[in-house]
Amino acid sequence: MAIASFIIHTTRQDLAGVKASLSQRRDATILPWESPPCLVAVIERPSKELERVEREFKATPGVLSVATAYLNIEDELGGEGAK
Amino acid sequence: MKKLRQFFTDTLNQITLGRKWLIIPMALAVLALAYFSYLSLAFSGTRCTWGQAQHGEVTDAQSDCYACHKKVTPKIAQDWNESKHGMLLVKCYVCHGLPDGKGAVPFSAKPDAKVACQRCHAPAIERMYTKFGVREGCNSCHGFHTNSLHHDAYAKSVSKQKAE
Amino acid sequence: MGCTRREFIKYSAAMAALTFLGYGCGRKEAEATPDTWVKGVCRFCGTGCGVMVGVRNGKVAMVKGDPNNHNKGMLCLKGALLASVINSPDRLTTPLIRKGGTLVKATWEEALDLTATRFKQTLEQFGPKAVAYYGSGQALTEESYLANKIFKAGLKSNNVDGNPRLCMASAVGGYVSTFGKDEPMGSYEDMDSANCFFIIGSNTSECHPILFRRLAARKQSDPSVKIIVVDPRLTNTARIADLHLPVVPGTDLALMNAMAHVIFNEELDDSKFHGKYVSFKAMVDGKPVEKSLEDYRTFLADYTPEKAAAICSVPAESIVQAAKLFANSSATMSLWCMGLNQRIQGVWANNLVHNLHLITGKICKPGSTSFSLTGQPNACGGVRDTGSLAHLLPGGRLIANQEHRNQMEEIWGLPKDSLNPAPGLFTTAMFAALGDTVRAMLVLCTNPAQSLPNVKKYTANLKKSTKFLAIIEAFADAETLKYADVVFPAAFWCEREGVYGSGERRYCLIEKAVASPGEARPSVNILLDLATRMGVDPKLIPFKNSADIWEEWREISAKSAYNFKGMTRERLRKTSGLLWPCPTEDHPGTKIRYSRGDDPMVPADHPDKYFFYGNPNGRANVWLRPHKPAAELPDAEYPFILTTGRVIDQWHTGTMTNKVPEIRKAFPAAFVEVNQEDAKRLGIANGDNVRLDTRRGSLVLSARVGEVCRPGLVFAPFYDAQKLVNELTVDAVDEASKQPEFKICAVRVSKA
Ligand code: SF4
Repeated sequence: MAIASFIIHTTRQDLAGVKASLSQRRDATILPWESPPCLVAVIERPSKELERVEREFKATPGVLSVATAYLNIEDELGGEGAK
Repeated sequence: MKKLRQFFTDTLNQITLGRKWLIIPMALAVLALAYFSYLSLAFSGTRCTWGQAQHGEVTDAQSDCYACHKKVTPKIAQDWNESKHGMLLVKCYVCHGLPDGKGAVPFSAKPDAKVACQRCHAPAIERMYTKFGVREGCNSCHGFHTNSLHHDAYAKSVSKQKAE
Repeated sequence: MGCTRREFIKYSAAMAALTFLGYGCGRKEAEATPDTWVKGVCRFCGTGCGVMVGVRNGKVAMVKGDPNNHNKGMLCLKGALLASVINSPDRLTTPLIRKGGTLVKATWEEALDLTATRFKQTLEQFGPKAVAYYGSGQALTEESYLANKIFKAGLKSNNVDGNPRLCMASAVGGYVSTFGKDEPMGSYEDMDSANCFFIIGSNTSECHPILFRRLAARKQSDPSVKIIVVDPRLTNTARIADLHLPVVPGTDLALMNAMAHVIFNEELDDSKFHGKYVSFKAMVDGKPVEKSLEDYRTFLADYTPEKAAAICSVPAESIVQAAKLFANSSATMSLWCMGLNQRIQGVWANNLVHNLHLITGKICKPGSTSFSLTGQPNACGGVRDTGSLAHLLPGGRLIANQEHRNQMEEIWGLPKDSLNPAPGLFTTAMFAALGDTVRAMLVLCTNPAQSLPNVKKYTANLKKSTKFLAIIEAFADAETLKYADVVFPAAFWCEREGVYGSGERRYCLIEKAVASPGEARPSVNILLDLATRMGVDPKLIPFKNSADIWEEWREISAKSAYNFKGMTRERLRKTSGLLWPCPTEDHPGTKIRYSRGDDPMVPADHPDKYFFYGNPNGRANVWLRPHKPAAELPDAEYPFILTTGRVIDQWHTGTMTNKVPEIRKAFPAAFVEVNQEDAKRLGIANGDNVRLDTRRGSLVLSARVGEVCRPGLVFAPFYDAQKLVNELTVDAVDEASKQPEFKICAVRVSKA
């Protein structure tokens, strides 16, 4: 599993709505941020699916843009190279 | 997970209380790591690498956005070049800012129309507002990069002028 | 605190995101919605776009276009990014005095006393000829008027010149010799009705972007509008041209004479107009002599399109086509800038553009005008109109003319014949004499150590210990600071109030929006303090602020053809600029000069529609000006031509534009444009270091290979203080206007 964080930009009016719809996701921790109006989503998914997740975020009504802030895929490598 | 959430909320409170400086050094270290993994994943050449540390001080005279984006996002770059904004040299950074986030304009792939467009188009925005009320952004009708010097919207406005 | 590794990673992930947002907060503040909007004018080019300065918490938060000014709310990228210039931390906040080779902080008292003492000593020891003022087309009108009065009336020194000498002098010479009065007769509004644009020696798109926008919009509205661009470079302006003539630099006199030849040959001239409103003139043995239409046609016979084609290296058909487009359109507007002005034939080239308009009658009508573009925001209003040049007095008067001097003596309340009758030193002569016959100099709001031609020759004088140099400057990194003995920190742009006069005779008030940083003060007050301490008669300078000076200047203007008595401070505050002549408070301003019914200076009952009242016979002059080459032509040793100029992002010496991170990164360093064929021959690839050698200096710049420059030509911008392109340029000057030929010199190009 990979862990990533995204910054999801929205408008002040839509902030609550976007938060509500994203909070329904079970794989994400959502933190709203007031100014600029946006949310931080910490997500735990296989890295192959991350681009799809990013697209899903983008498709959420009220979302202006999505930016990747952090990505860690160590766990997926399963200790490769350790031996 | 609940514990983590609590932890975040506390942290957030701390930050909003203005004690941001406590967290910044820590976060910066994490940030460097984050950047590396992000880049090493290589979502490939479509990502802008200008913000990378080693490109921070750009000395190459060819390094304006367009020169590189001609290659990595050719359609967008060409659209811009042929649009009114391209013809009139309203360059990328005027609306998008700098990818390293250190510019005068906030960096954004989708600039906030309320700020970016207002610098020049305040009268037009006002007109649209009185005609149609609030709309989210301007781009849905007036393509930032596709409003060309030759497109037919113009023809419409001529006929409008004549009708008046 | 017992969190698992996974939780720690998640924490890091969240922190990484929050750090970005931390940046976001800082940026957001700068862009926050302003509390108040204050009206002003853009600080950069002579287009003079109106701006609204958004102020929040006493700081400039945002700049947007003024919807009520000629730019209708539009700004080019420089204007849109002005906020970060005024918020720059690189500002001068205290006076500085050079002690033991370095500039150290000083009090206002020390700096003012030292400067006044040095000026007084110089005056006592060497007389008024030894002091000088070097001003700027970026200073406020009030500042230029005041400095001019202090030096010419107070200190009796005519050594008052300024950077418009490097930029506008030939345009002044052109207008004055043809029409008898300076400044264009048309306005920007002519762009909306012109059907043909003749753009020669101007990269309008990069140097006057908002005017380019207007003419592009004009072409878009009517595809039959034709645009002719004469420029040795394939500039962005040429992108919308119907006809681009990449002439060899310095051959445009032949081109325009050949166009006149074609116009007569094809009988496209307007004989009704030139028969009634034009007199033909030529210089014979240094004196103007009346000529006839026949003489003019005989003179033109020599300039067949074929002959000109050989000189200019463009097809003869293109010259014929250009002439026909020019003369056949219902309204033709010419636009030119430094390409014609910064030349040793600058005045003549200006005359020849006017000639084309006068013989076709395409002048003083809506859309028909010969319009010189201005480089600086207040060269026209501030320096040309107030006469702040070495040979001028306010309102278009000449120092050499006794009657004019006596008029000014009366206006200023001076004893008769007390003004110094000898014109002062023009820019390059002034700097050449620095440290020698000129001992003390005051520089206001300009950066000569970077902008003078052949600059090494003059910086050698700036280094001399026999000179005293005081400068009034806003930015701490201006090149000229290196040579200053005293530096006064100036309030910048909308940190004080004053008038800017743009290229179309439009006077606009910049209102005070924010306070200046540290101890910086308005230049008007610095000048007043200095004058008082130098012992200038207090009756001459009864001013407290710029509004007082404006009142005096407005009153005085009524006694000249520059009459703008109707532009009270109140009115300027309410409007977004007015165009002079504007004699009364209910006059709306003048869009077209010399035309009965439009120009209040033409009597309503004047028998003719047009009246060129600047000339004694009421006619405009068509000058017979032969083609003459540039001062330094390419030869075997220096086979290329070097031309200099600007890019849209950077403005002049870059002290302001380099404060904008976006601009600094887009154009960090000077470069040299080389034609691709020349590059292939010389083995130069894009990005290679290229060495430029001229008779005056050498420089290594990185190459931009492409098709912008015509073969045999290279181009370099002059904004970069690290690579002073002006170390290469030639300082030969136009005989009449004394403007240097920045645009052409011979250069050797090689791979470094
Ligand atoms: S065109 Fe000139 S005056 Fe207008 S915004 Fe740009 S730099 Fe300023």
